[in-house]
Amino acid sequence: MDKNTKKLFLYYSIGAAAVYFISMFLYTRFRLSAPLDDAFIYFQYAKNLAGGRFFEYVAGEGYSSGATSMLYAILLSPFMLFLKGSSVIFLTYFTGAACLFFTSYFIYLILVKLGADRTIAIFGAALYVTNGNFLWGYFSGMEIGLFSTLIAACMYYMVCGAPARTQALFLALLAMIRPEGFFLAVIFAMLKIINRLFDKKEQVLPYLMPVAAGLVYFVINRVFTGDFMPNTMRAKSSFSLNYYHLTEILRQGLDTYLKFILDIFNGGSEHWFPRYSLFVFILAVAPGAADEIKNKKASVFTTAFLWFFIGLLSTIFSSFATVHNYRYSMPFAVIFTVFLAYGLSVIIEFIPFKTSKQKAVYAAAISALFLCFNFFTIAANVMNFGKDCRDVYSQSISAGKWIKANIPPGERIAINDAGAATYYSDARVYDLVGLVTNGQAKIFRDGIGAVFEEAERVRPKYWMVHLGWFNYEGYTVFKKPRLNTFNIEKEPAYFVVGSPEVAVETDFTLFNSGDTMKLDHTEKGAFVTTDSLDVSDIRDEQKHGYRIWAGRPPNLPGTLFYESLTIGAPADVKVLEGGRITDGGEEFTVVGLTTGKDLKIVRRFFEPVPVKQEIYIDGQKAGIWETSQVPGYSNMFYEDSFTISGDFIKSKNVRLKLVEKSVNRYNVFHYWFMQRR
Amino acid sequence: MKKGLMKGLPVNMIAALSLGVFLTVTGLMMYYNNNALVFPDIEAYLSLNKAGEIADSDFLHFFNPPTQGKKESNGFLYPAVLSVFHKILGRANMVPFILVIDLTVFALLLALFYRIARIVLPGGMAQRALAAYSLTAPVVLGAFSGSDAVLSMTAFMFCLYFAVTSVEAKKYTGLVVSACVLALTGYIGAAFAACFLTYALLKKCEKAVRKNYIPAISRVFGILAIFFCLLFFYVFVEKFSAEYLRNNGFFDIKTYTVDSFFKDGFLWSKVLPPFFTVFYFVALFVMTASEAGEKKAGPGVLFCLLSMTALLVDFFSMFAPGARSYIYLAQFFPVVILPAVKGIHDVAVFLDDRKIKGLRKESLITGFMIFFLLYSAIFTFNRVVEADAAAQYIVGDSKVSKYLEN
Repeated sequence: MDKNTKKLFLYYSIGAAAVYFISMFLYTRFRLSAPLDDAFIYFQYAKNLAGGRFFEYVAGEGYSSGATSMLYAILLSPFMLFLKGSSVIFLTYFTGAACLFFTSYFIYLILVKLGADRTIAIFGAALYVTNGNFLWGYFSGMEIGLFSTLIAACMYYMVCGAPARTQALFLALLAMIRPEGFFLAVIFAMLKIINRLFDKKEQVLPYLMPVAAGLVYFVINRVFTGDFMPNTMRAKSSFSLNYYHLTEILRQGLDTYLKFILDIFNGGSEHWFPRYSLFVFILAVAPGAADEIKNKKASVFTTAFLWFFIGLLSTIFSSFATVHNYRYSMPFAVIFTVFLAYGLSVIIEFIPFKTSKQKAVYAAAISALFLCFNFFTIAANVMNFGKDCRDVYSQSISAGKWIKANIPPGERIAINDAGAATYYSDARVYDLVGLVTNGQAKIFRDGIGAVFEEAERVRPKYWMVHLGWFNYEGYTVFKKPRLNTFNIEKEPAYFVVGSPEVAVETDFTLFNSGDTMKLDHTEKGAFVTTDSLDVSDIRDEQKHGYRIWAGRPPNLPGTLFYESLTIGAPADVKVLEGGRITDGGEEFTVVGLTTGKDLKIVRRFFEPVPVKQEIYIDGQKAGIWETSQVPGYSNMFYEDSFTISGDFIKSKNVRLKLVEKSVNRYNVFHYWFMQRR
Repeated sequence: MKKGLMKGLPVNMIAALSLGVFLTVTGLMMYYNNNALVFPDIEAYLSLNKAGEIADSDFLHFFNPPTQGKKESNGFLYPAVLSVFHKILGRANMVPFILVIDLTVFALLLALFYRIARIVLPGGMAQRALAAYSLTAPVVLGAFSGSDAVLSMTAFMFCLYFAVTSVEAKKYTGLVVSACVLALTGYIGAAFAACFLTYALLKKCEKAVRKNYIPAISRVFGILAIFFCLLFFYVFVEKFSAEYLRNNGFFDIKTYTVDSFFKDGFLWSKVLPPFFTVFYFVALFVMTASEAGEKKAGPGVLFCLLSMTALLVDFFSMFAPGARSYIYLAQFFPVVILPAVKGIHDVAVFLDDRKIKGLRKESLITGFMIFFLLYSAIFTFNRVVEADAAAQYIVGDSKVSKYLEN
């Protein structure tokens, strides 16, 4: 890249940063904000890192794996020594502009090395940096720009045949920037291993080093949290759901994947790229990959093909794959853009022009078409960016500042957007989604009933939640009136924030109200409780090895959350509890029993319907439990019991299995296990 | 005949593809039905019930079994053939038996397709086309649906086989016989059979047609189009009334697009990989143009006739919301795949001539085929899963549940 072109891209990058900054500034009415609350999660980790606390989100509460990009947080941390409060937002524009410049630089170099002429190389770089969507990502305060730059750098060093140690260094950074980067490093190492099978001169060892570097992150997670996966993946990945059918997850994910490729990369929705871009990309990358495969030496084309398609695939099995302007998939657009530009150069070559002037005119026309499209992506995203910043300010940042001013330090506060609320308040947060609170992600995946069961343990004094996520307003959980409400006028672009965010104080009246039976099942003291299972309380379920299933795929057991009275119990005794519903069955271990003594199972359920379950104790059929409707009552809990002969209780701990035999679904909220004295 | 059909066949590839697809489809079928073998569509059970009624009546109800089938997908021939096996094997064994038949037929379809591809496509393209055919969603869903599709696909493939082999040598018996069988599979099969027979007639009267080629071919297309419109209107529009049209969902579409008018999208875009039909169109144009130049009807005209028919079927199917297009249209897909693969080849040759760096003919073909095959494999897997997941809605039906009882 010559000096003038470098200058051009450098000035452009600075200019783009200025335009997006102005948009943010105008939309927020001259305040500082970011378009994503998640950026503040990195800022918070970086702030605590700078303070000597190794990936502690809440100071003093130990490591948590809420920073998917450990490297990004580490890179930010030195700046946090002197940047306080909102001033960190300035930094994101500097890093965004720097990444933008370097991405354009590497794209240019890749295209030159691939054999494209200089004009096409400049066009390729411009095609990327003038796309408003990617600018949105680069200035979002997230690691998108850094990840994209590293992909471009790795591809450049690959295509120019740089020494293995240089390639390994950049691949190692790629492997550490995000788990998807780790996948890319693994793919590359595997290609090198395959190459080695056909060519003994091929080096493999240097390319295993990046894989090892990427693994460090997972090992750290395992050491500190007991789980290799970061909380962010546990909270969002489709494979982290507690109950799912693999085939259904694959089908839904792959359908999204195909639709995403056609809508976004083939321009179906005219959002990132114009129509038929995918065709041009395939025309450029697939024949090269086929050539490399035929020659048994996978190189840049095969790598680009696999990195793009597998890389995208790795982002799609997430509940957040299609929000935030597809930010997880955005870094892979670098690969797409390089080969889109290369493909366009192929098309230009394909047409037989009589003079070079004709060719230049034709090339300029094609370039203009794409750049014109890009101009409108900037126009659209400057507005989207500003609106997102405004709404993040109106909710997340304002909420954080409000917490700082109004909640006594040290009080536990339940939140669901962990970023700005914590960054601005340094409060003792309990993240209901589980991004920054270890172990909570698994609970979050089972709905508000399970989250409430956990909240009964954590007992947060305050809540700062979006009602669209955790609407406990219809239950005796939130004290009335609300302490504050943070509203936005309309849903912002890319679903960055949303429903009203409310600050409330906890009403503990019905906390743990479901833990005790409301009817007397002791038969005048003949039976005593030996064990109990709080269904939907994930920790209690884990303790009992609880499992529930539906009658047939693709159905899954559902979750419930009710507040009501109990049939037959005093009218002033309310129960608030989470439960489950299924037409299949359940299985769990009952502990602490006395062998040979009758076992009475008491079950709490809601609004009984006629159901019939076969009961098995350690695989042996022990009876059929039938429950019928209770006439005259509706919308109330009920407690029913079933007694199993002591002959079936042959050990201290037994495995109990219930299998539904009727066509109806039964629900359950709590089990108690009683034995004769 | 057998020796001729088997000669040069990539037996290992056909066996691997057939078994791979069969195991995936049956594995998913069993997963979604708690290890029971349940066909995902009611159409299969309508045919099975008809077959059972024929068998139970000692073949007295041969022509009029009491069970009402669907006009578009439940023909006379399939239940009649099944009834014999129903009598011999009994109800409980019918589903596993049909699955074994489906596997055998699928392998036969692949073998026939390969034979046709060897004739229609340039050298080296037949195996790629075979892979594309075996992974196409409507083909897989149709072949293992347990419904009439398996019979219509076989008859159609035989028609195509004879059309590109014997008819060129002025031998018509094979095509006429297989077209008659195809016509007996149902209304849609009959329409395709009419296309094949028309093609045979055009070849038979080649000299007469040559004198006035374009007007003659245009008239054939026009007459068949009108006839098919009437036929498909009868098949798919159950009752022609404003109320029926209002209730079948067609008027509930929020934003109409071109795809709204076709069950599988315009040019089957909803069931094929992107750009695939672009290549199909390229090849079809080249084929028909060169045939027009020679004033001689060939595979191009036949493919156009069949494509027109399929497009009309796809259009009229919109008036029958419950119709599953792959059951009655699966037979047609060789007609899209063969020209599409030829189109890829033609474009690759064209680009190869320009001597552009990195764009050799072979690499272009392989590159595009890799993309299409990967896309098809994912798409087909998804559609099979979707179909099996929907089986839960029919298992309660007595027509289905009686085949689940031991």
